[in-house]
Amino acid sequence: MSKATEFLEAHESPTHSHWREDAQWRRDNAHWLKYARQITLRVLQAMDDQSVTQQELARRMGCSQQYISNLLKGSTNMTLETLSRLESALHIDILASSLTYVDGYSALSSPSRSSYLNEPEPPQYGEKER
Amino acid sequence: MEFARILNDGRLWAVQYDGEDENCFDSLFTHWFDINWLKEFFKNNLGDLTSFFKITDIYQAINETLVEAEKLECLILDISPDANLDVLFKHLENSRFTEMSLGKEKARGAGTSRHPSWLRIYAIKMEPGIYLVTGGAIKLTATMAERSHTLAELARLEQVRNYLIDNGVYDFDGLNDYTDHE
Repeated sequence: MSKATEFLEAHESPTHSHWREDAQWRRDNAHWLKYARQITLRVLQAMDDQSVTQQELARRMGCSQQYISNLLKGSTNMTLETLSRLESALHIDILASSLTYVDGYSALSSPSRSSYLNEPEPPQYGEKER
Repeated sequence: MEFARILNDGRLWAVQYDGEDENCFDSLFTHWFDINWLKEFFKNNLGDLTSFFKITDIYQAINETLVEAEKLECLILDISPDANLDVLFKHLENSRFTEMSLGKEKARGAGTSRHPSWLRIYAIKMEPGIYLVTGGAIKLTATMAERSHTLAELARLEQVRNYLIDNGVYDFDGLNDYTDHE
């Protein structure tokens, strides 16, 4: 064993690298991560355009700022509920326009649920998502 | 200062700086895949992005960084045990064509059709094929000395190199061993 390798091994950190595990996870989930990143970029653009802070977005969505902070990293597997809440909170279209008519039903013409923003939020909202 | 093993076969290591939660290699990719972090970075460096890369939209820059980081990460992830890391890392100084003991090196992303990559991983070459990552950066200027975040990476390279020398990893015997392998 070389002197350099001996030295590195003798001073090896007890905290192991998580990079390989993370990289493999990113590769295995690349397809939906691509969507998550595009959605996050759209949300950030809307926040910029409307001068909405993370704190304000959290208030509008009825969740914690910590949750929003994690969401804006772009690696969250967002539920339909989260996407719907983002659309309403920022008045943007993420999913709605891409949904087509099914048996005469259109997501665009369905009754608005914007009122839920004023409803009490479940205390555990956001906890189920990665 | 401690060291984290990045590749199991011991060819790639990274510095775990005192007081940091994760080693500098893990931290690099954590940042490069964090859209909110990238947004803040490009917002704070929009002038350089515009001057040197003619990009005025930070969201375009974020998108390109994500694609570049993914390519670079896959390249490292797929390095076979037989492959030589020397093809990934090049001398930090573009004007240096000779080997030096504990040389300062850099790896960069593949770039796009429009411009070269701005992603950099900095490392010390411990010996042929074995590298110790000291940090990395999004480099938007021609030289590292022009901006504080890249200047800090230069300082880290020097700090780690000096630490290795002070701890006897490099000495005249070591130099002889080293050059014998060249």
